[in-house]
Amino acid sequence: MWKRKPMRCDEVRSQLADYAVGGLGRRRRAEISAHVETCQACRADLAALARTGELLSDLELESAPAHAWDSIRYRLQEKSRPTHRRAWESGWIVAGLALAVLVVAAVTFLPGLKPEPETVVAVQVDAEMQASLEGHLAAVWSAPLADAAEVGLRLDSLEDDS
Amino acid sequence: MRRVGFTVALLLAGVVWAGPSAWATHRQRDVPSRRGRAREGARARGPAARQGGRAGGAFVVAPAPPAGQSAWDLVWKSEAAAKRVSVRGRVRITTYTGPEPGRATAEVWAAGGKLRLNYESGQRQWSLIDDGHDLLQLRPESRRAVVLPRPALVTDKPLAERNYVARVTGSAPVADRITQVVEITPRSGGPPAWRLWLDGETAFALRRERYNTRGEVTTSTAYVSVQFGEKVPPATFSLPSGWTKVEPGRVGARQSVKALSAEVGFAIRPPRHLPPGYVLQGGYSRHQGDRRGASVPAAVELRYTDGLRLLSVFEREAKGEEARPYREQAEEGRGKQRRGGGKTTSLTLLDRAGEKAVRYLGNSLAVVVVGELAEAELIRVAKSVEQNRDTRPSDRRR
Repeated sequence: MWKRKPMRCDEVRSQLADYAVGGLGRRRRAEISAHVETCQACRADLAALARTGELLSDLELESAPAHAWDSIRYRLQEKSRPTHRRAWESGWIVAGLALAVLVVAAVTFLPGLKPEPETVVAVQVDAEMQASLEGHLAAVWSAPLADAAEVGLRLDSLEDDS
Repeated sequence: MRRVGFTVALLLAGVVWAGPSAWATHRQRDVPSRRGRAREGARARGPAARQGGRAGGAFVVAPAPPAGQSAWDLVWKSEAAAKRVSVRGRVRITTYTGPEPGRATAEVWAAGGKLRLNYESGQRQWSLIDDGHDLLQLRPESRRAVVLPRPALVTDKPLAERNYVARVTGSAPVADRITQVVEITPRSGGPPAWRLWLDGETAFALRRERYNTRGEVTTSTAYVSVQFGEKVPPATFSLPSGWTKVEPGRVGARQSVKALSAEVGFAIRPPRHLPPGYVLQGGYSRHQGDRRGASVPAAVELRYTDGLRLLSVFEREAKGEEARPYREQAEEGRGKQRRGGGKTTSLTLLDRAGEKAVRYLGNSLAVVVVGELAEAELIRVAKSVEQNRDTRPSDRRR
């Protein structure tokens, strides 16, 4: 009986994103599941992907400003009209384009309308993050209801991670 | 016929009204057999405990705090006992904060507010000493001790009682002693955040469980043996001779935001957004470094609390490439990177050791926020620092 070779880490990782969202066939999912069960690195990658997915699902959808829709609607109407235009119509085109430019400028420069910043899920703990986590945990040690034994264990795991 | 129908309806209403409470009373007064207690204990350590079920173990008698004491009195008595009582024992610790559960046992010595834990996990052994000022992480393999500065915190009891509800839910045996089980739940709703098993005699916490917002156990510690009133030699809490002390960073004394700004030379901006119930506990200057020798720029730490949980906001000046547009930066990491045009910012998320951290590189400040909150909330707090044009504290300083 022909038996398929077990998947390598690079093969698994190239399909891990699809796997995380349930987008693969049953056989391929089973192969990846088997690999993830035995490979700690791929399991950690899968956990990171799942967390990113959770985070993205928490984000609220931004609605476009009302005047942007006016501009789009206007442009569509323009397309459906006959090509022969009068002088005042070309004036409206210029105004619509100016409005579109204004919308783009507002989205780019106004603080509330800026695009979302890049999100990087860190894998390596750098010196600053390490120091911040240690500082926070050292404070948690002294907080009310703090369980010194478990905080100590978590501090130790932090050093292992680094 | 109408009278019979009315009587049946009345009986049904009675059952609906009294049923759940009668069942709950029955459950709490139920005295399980030894086998039943073992089964409960096994369940509390197993996956079911992570689902936030009755992870508290077996209830033995009906809950009732001692006469004249509220559940909060018991909690604060327990906090005082941790500093007052002399203890020697052995604890079993489990953390569910990584991909795999972390397990260890530790020998514990505590006296006069000092503590020593000798950990053992598999083949590894290490110690941790709280000498009353600092935390010392002792590494036997290198005979060196890393010093972690431990800032002095002020316990704000009224704030804790405003934000959380404590109630005694029963009593249970832990390490052959009878304990009272106290459940602490956020007033804002949701499952309990802590369960404590407090010794009936000393109020010392013999078992603790911490839960996340989904009601899953995140950490669990239970004494398997304990002796109170044991004399502990003072040398237990000091570094043995021949060991090297490594001090990667120092923390300054607690001071106001204005005084801190003057000390570090840049305008500190308290976050404009804070989670409900959190207030500023204090500000500290931090001269950080890490144990591998890499230097970290000086920063300030603003510490917020809701009475029980902590939120740490670290701020420092963004310099050089950090302050430039994102396109020019090389951020080590991975994940979806969406590139926006213009002067945008960078956000890094980290989930380690049961804490979530967010770093936000703004136009003038680099902000790291660490706390036991949802990522979206941490991001909101971090981003609100740059948005705050007012450098005065957003909440009263305590």
